[in-house]
Amino acid sequence: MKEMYLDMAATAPLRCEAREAMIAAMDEYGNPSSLHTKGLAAERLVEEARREVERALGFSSGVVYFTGSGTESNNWVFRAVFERFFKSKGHVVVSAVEHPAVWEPAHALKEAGFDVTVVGVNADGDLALEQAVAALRQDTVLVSVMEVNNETGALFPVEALSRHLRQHSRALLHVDGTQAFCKMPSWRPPSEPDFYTVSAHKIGGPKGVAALYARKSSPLKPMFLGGGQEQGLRSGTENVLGIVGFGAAAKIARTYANSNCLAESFVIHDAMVSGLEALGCRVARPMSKSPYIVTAAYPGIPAEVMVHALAEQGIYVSTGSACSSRRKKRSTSHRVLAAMGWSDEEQQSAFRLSFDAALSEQDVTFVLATLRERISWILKTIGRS
Amino acid sequence: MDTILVRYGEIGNKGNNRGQFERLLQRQVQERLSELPSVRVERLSGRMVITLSDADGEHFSRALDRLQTLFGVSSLSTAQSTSLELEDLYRAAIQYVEWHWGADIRRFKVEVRRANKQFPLDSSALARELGAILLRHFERLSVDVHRPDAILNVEIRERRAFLYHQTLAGAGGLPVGMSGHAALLLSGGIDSPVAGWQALRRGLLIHAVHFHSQPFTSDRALDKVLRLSSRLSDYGAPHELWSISVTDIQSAIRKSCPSMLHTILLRRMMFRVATSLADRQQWLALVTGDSLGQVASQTLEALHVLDTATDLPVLRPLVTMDKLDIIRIAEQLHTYPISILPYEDCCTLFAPKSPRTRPQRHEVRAAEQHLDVDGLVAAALATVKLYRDGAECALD
Repeated sequence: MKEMYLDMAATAPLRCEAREAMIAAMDEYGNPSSLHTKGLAAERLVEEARREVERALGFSSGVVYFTGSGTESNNWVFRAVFERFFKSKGHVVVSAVEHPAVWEPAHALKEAGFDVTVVGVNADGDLALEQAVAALRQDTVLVSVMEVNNETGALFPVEALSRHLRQHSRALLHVDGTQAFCKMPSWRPPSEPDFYTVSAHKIGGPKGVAALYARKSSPLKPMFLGGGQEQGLRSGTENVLGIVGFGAAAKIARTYANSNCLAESFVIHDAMVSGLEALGCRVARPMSKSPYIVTAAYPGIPAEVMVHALAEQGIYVSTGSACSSRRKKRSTSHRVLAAMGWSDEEQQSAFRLSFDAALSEQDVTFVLATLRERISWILKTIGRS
Repeated sequence: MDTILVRYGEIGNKGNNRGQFERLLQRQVQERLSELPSVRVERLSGRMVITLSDADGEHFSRALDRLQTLFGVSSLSTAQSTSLELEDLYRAAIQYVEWHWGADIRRFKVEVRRANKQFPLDSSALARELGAILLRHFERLSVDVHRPDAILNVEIRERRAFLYHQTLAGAGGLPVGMSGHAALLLSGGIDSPVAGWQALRRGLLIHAVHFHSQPFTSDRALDKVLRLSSRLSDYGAPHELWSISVTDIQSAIRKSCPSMLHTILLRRMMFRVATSLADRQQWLALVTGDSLGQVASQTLEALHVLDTATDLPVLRPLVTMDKLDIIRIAEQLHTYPISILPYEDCCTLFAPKSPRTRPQRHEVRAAEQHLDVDGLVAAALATVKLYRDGAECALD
């Protein structure tokens, strides 16, 4: 059976360059903190990988700290803001469609007495710069906005926001770049945010390693206390293998991100979107977007059923929402699509296809044909055809 | 301590079958302890004596853990063995108290059970003698036959004597397999694993059968049921799962039958499929987690209509139990946290808005006229997949 993995926004397969680099590094068993030759060899591997991630990010100054996950990187920023402004409190701006790893810490700040403004998006998931700017106040201490939304693929105006903040505000800017970093054709980082989150496994590196870029003057405080690794800010013996894999993946992904496949990718994206609409799906169509993420809903068919029905045919897509009405906590996908004004039924039915530049027009045709067959089979089985 | 005494109250009473039952239990004890080195299991009338060559006690605690969940075992004691020479016995008693009784034990008594009638002293004489020796040797001790802090038990057997003072409860029940084979309808909910455990406790060797409606149910839901069957294997069930698709059956019912009867019709079809599988495998009963009146499909009328779909006995260990009691057992079995994992299925797509709570036999039969019952059962049986030790394997 032909298999198609269309869940690249959840995680990407390990790149062979990352695998090979990690296998080679397995023999460098030294602890980077040890003074002897073995320690030095391991430390060199870590520092080479750090330079690769720095190059891929392309910021002119600042520091890249390795962490255990994008979630940890995001939490670290909010923790730093909490500790820095604990006494005076202040105002924080986030978008309504942030990943839970930003959304939940923002709520924790709110509970701690900070004022939090949530900037909404339109029905296709676009975030208007003017709205974000309008939310700013004299006492705004942090603006945290993702670069590419993990569900709709909407590309947020972080570059313009960054420039505006530099000229008109003292607020810190955090950008969650997990779905953008080296995942977009011709990707460039926004100019000098205070913090930028990246994750290895989204670009073909291993799971369990990520990084947080921070400007030199950032208020980051140690996340863990101990042996003083990562310039004293994140103690704990480095995940050398993971970091090496991250470096290797970043090196390859950077080349790919610089290549000019932009136009072609958008053609494929458009074909997918119009094909889904022709099948009767509602599709989020953000103005600015990553060409690799599409969210669609076929009302009446719970997303979970769609996911399993496609998986039976070797097509792997995802959903953040479950069809169960008994679920106590409303899932992420509900929150994001609810913020876009999608109906309950559309939220329950929404599924996400995420891919990369390797997806061809023939693949799109295959996916759409399978989807058409699956929809009609499901409707027939549940007696609705 | 060098010995574990295993008692098996219930099967001790089984008359003619006793030898067979004891051999079954002995084999299961040996299997349970097969990972431990140099274990010897002997049968002495009404007891099993397990000798472990383990000085540091590590193997002892592992052996106890493993034996405490073994059905058929009523209680266990760790004991010190000694020869039948009186001098040895007295020395062993002093040493036992010295090593195993804390300073908090002040009042004691000695109880002797003399299975070996050749032994020179009778029970009460030996008890008196041992009591006197211990009193002389340990100043803090005094005899109190009514409210002792500890009892030194002494068992005089054919070749050896055993000393112990603590008794742990066993799992009780009958050795698994003694009562034959049955299919357990394992759903993934809270009740059916508990029903399975209770069936195991009565000596039934259960084979878990799970009905799914993929793609309307997920791989994770199946995985959850595999984990439940793995838990039941800790209590002697084979670690296997027979998974069967009822998607086509649901679809056919949805198409041709009144919606308020969907649930009862589906359950009757599941019973038929399970019965066919049971016939093929020579299992003699169906075990379900039904509890009377718990949900709409568990009214007496529903159970009555349900049972006419099979000619096998339907065993419902939980039928009179309250939900809270079932949950308490599920927590003890560690199945509860698995059962409440939120991989709920999307069968609500098929579910009627208002199911009939008190279905009648005639209306169900009338509805089934519209179904190709035999064809659907055969088609469902063709989807059987067998998982052993968590992995799919070929059908025999």
